[in-house]
Amino acid sequence: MPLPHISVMLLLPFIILLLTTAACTALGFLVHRQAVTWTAMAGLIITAASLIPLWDRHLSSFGGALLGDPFGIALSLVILLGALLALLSSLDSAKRSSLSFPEYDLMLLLGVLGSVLLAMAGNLIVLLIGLEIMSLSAYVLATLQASRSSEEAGMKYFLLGAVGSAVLIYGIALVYGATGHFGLSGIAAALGHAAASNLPVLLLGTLMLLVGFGFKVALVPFHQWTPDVYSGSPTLVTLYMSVVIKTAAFAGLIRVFQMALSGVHGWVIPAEVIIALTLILGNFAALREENFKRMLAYSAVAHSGYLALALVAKSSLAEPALIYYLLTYTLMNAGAFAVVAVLQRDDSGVTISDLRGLYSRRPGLAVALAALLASLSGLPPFAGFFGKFVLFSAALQSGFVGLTVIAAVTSMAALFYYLRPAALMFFSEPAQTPQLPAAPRQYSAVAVWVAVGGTLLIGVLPNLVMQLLQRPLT
Amino acid sequence: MLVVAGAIGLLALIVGSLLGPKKGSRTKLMPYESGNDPSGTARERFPVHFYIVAMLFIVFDIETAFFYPLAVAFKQFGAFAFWEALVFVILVLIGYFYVLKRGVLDWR
Repeated sequence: MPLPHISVMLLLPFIILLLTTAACTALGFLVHRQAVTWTAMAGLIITAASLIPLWDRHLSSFGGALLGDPFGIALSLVILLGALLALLSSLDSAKRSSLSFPEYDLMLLLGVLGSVLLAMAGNLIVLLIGLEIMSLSAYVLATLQASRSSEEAGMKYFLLGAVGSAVLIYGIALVYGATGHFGLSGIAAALGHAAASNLPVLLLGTLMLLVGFGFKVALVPFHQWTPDVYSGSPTLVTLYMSVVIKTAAFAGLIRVFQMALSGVHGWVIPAEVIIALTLILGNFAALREENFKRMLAYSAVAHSGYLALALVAKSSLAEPALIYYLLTYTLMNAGAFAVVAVLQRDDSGVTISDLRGLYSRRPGLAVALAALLASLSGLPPFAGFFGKFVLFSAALQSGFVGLTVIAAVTSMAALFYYLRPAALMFFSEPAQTPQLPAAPRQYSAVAVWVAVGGTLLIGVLPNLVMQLLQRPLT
Repeated sequence: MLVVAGAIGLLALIVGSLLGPKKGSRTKLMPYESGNDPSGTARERFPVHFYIVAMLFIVFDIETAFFYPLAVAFKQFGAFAFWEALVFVILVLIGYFYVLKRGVLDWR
């Protein structure tokens, strides 16, 4: 019996993550929770270090089931960055959310393991395993806090996530039935000579994959869980979900559709409709929200729409644009939620009117939040602008003019809901000063300023990242 | 194929309900409890331990279920399978110690 070919170099990141999780499980009983978090962060950094030497080597393991291509490695690094920011801001904010126990770190590490597996999957089965590890740990994280809202959020997330997974698995089964392959390159090769009678099954499977991933990345009309889960979960968990889960789910979505299924006819028009709906509904629903956390949830839906432009665009343009925007998105969203975690009294978040006159009370936080909101809305000196620019131009150069126009117009509408809280912070005096929690917050401050500095740096010098990415990726 | 499969399922239900004899007796209408006569109402409060132990059972049950195919194919795979299985067992074992230490199995 021949043994599968294994590249230990490529497995190393997973082994390190697994060992870190095991170590943290044991440490949880021995030391204080903050020490567990530091260990987890060290593990994430070592994992990132083990990924970097793989960049140009194009390794693959288990007969192509695990791919170490730059696309996967770049997105894995983005995932690790998001998880690091989540852990960093949890060092002080977790205590107030009564989340300060080692299980938070453990579940987060397992979620990162699943996410990295999803980002590097070269095979639908491995992709599914990664997705399930990631989703299951996210369900647990959402219910981790002993509060009604957290339980409700976790339950909703679990039920809708399970529906999404079921549709996705059915789609995988149909694609396998039509092509006879699980491997992404195998599927792409089989498309050329697929029998005509298999094409309806193939299209159905492709559309089911689109719907299944649509649930995971929150594309309209499969987004309904997002506002409830994002606002019901503890803010620190929302931070993690909105960056790590989204990055990993997009990695899987783009990998499957760009690498394997781009030759299938008939899914592009439904995808265009879904993206247009996501852009319109996400941005306009955010306009009406008074709760800042819920507004960020709808903004996450809208950003799914921008990111999904990479789904239909040509792969050579789409992949660098997607990676750049996901990096930017991770920095700005993690920063914005970290600010909410500092400002909130309880985990229902802050209302937009609570932000009134924040500049006079917390000038540092107000400036940071304003910068992050400006970046989220896509204003020039920040990375959000350049990210939107490369994504829109990728869609435009691939011939999707209507979609690009919708994206541009809706991001104009987005200016209103991002800039209203920003303006309130600076121009209005507090009507009656809302009590802000006076808790130690130096770690959250570091996370926020890393996020602001990062968006500013790659916004002013986008070539730092783009030069690395624009070489052929796959 | 999907339609045919669905149609067969529906057909079985419809034909069964049309043609099957329906004669209820006391024994037949009793709730089924693994062959025992039911005692008391089912609307009782169960200790939450029940569910946790049931969940743990599934984890370790699946672990043992994996060993059967492994045992059958062990000769062909050799040392590779041994190390793979060892990794799997150690991972589940870490979970077991976690459960033990958290006091899930203390029945009080």
